Amino acid sequence: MASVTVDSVSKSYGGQPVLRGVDLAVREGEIAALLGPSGCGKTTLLRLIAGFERVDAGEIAIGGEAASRAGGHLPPEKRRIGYVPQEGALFPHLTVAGNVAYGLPRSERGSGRVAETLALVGCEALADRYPHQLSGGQQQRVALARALAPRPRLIALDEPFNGLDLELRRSVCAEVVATLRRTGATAILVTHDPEEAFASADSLAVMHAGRIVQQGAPRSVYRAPESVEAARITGPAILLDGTISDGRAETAIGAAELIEASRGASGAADICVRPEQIALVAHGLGAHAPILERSFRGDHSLLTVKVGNHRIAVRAPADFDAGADHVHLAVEGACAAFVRQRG
Amino acid sequence: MTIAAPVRREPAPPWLALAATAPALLIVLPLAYVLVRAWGVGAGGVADELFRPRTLELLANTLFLGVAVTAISAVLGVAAAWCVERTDLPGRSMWRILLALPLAVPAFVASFAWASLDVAFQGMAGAVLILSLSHYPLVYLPVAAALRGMDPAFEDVSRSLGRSGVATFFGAVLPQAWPALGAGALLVLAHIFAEFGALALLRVQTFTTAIFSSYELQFDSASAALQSAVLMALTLPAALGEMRLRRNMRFSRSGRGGRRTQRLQPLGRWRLPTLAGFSALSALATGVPAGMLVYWLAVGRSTARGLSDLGAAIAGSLSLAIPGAIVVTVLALPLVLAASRHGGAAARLADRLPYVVHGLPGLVVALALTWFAIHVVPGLYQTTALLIAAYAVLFLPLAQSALRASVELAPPRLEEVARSLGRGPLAAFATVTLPNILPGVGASLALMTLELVRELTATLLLAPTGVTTLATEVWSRANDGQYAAAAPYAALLVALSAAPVYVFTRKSLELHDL
Repeated sequence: MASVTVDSVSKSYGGQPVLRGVDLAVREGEIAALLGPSGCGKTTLLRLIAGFERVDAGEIAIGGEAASRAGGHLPPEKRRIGYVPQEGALFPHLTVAGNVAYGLPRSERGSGRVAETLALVGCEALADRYPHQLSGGQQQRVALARALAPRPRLIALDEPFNGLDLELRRSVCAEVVATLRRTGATAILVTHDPEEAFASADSLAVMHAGRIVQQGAPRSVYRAPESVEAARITGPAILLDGTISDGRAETAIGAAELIEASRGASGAADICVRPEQIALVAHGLGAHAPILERSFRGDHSLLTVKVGNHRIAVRAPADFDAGADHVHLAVEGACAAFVRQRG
Repeated sequence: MTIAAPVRREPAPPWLALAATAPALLIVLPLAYVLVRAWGVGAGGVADELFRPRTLELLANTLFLGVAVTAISAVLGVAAAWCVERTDLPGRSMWRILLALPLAVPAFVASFAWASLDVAFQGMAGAVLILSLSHYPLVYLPVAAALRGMDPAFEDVSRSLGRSGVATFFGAVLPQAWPALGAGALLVLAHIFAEFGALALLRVQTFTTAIFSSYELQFDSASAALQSAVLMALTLPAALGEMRLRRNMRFSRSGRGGRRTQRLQPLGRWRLPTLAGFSALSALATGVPAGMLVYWLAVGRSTARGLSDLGAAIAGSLSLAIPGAIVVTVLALPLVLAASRHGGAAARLADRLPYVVHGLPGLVVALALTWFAIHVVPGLYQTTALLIAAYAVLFLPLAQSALRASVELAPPRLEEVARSLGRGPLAAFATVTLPNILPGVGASLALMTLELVRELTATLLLAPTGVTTLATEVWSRANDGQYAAAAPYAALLVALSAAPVYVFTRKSLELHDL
């Protein structure tokens, strides 16, 4: 297993920049998630790390050795990076066992490594099947086994669960992450799904428009986004007009605590509130907000309320009083704030 | 649904680019021939030749034939497709096959059959009838596929908005089937402009038969070159238009899931007349050629003529078609790989060029290669190699479309995974890409072989002296009026055609059910 360092890497296609000076560090044995909307460059970054494409500028080091830089390129077959693409891409002409054995040296193909790796992903019974005889989830597990079999230094997963439906997606993702943890693999997972990224990663890198806008522990990135983009990409975010003074923000829903990084600021700012931070409180304890719309959602009701100039959605109990025409709201917990640029 | 990542491709490696230029150069040859010859004649000569009454007569004949056959084929094809796919016509699955059968009879074989029935079928009217009957499946198949693939919701919506059945057909159904109809019709047009064998047998004067006469009179004739130029000006736009429409067709396919089966329109009292019409169509298009072949076979048997040289003709056909198929496939593979794996303007152009030149009549290609052999590489004249070069120019597009499907079975992603598992580029190609495309390559080789056996024009002009094939034997004997002697060769040709026609029919009809 090895660490990965990406140092101010740029890449463009036909004059169109896709990556603009990306920095990324993944420690040995860590699972890192690259989270971003489609077209942000995350797949390109993964393909550069795997060596399928060359960097225009900057450097990529794997295990401390330079692998990619302008003018020097270690071909993918020399990098020892296991690659799990979208939809698995199992070789259709080989059985499951044949797929897993493909990357092993000839001497090791009959040695039990194939069975051992298949057992690791719980697919030992499928060894003689062909890929078209497998379900989507099984294909992904076999694709992971194929990548793990030659004991790579790093596993690169490119939106591997995209082809699966939502429920299967969560369970296959959990299994894959558990397998990666058991083997102690260093892994980079590309995804556009924040929940998947939070659930699997030790380290989360948020990508936007060809740059990594923030990297850190998932919890801290969610709680303390450093930019509006990072806030939006990592989950639903409500931006309220606010004024900061003395390390606290004043908003239309009342006063809000600030995270440490935002406390030093002052003046007009966008206060970033996660929906779960907005609480219904008793009369007199919070801001008055008229109800514009209400919608029954089974286990809860969703209210659309007016707060200052904002329309925001608030979760309420399923049996919320049908006669009420307003609620009282307060912000719980600390929020990030983005000071408005002057002019 | 996942959103496909934007296509980003590295340029093709030099060896692939080089391998793709060879077929591209070969294809430019006929165009160069026509231009160089026309240049040699000079502007005055060109004007003299082009404005002769004879040229105008040929132009009128060629255009009339092309437009008439295309129009009749379009009407027959659309009517057949609609009845088979959208009405409760009894025996629809049988009609689906029967209506495509005329494709198994090469046009020159059908013409020989009709001409041997009665001299009255020789001439323009007969040619329009016979060629329409043998070409309408080229419209019927794509339109039937489009009708099958169409989402019935559009028709339901149109009916719910108050349009009648007929208005719905013209307002909602036909516009969606238009790319298929247009591409099919233009294909018919290009075929008719390029047709030679059938028209020679039916004694109709068009550009192709005139070029052939000029060529027979004088080897390296300026007239033939100029007539070729006019013919190219007719066929190339048809081929280009077809290519454009076909591309649209690929993109306008509706999504897969959640489609309901088509509701069938009851024919009611039209049932019997429709059945009678289809029976008549099938009897004329398939029954007459088949019946005449059987008749002449029987006559031939009683007089014991015609079978003597059959073995030599089969051997001749195979000795040209098998190497031809291999060479065409090998030339087509780099074109397809470069275009589908790497892209780039040059690769795309090289990939499309053959389709444009596909509009070139076999006659023009054969003339161009003859001229090239005589003036540039004299050793090539009258060799199998020259004929195979002509096959390559004429049949590259067919090999490309056959190979494209198999190359798509092995997406570049598979090779990337192989690279990440420690294999070098060549090893990855050999262990992953090749095993996945080989079955398709094998199938396309078989298909190409059978298609080349049917080829008449280029073989007639370029086959080495003394080599006969099934197609040239049919043509020369039928042309001399020896119908009984031609029949065994023709029957064998039709039998061999059944396989590629079956494959083509299945592929066309399933196009939208992928």
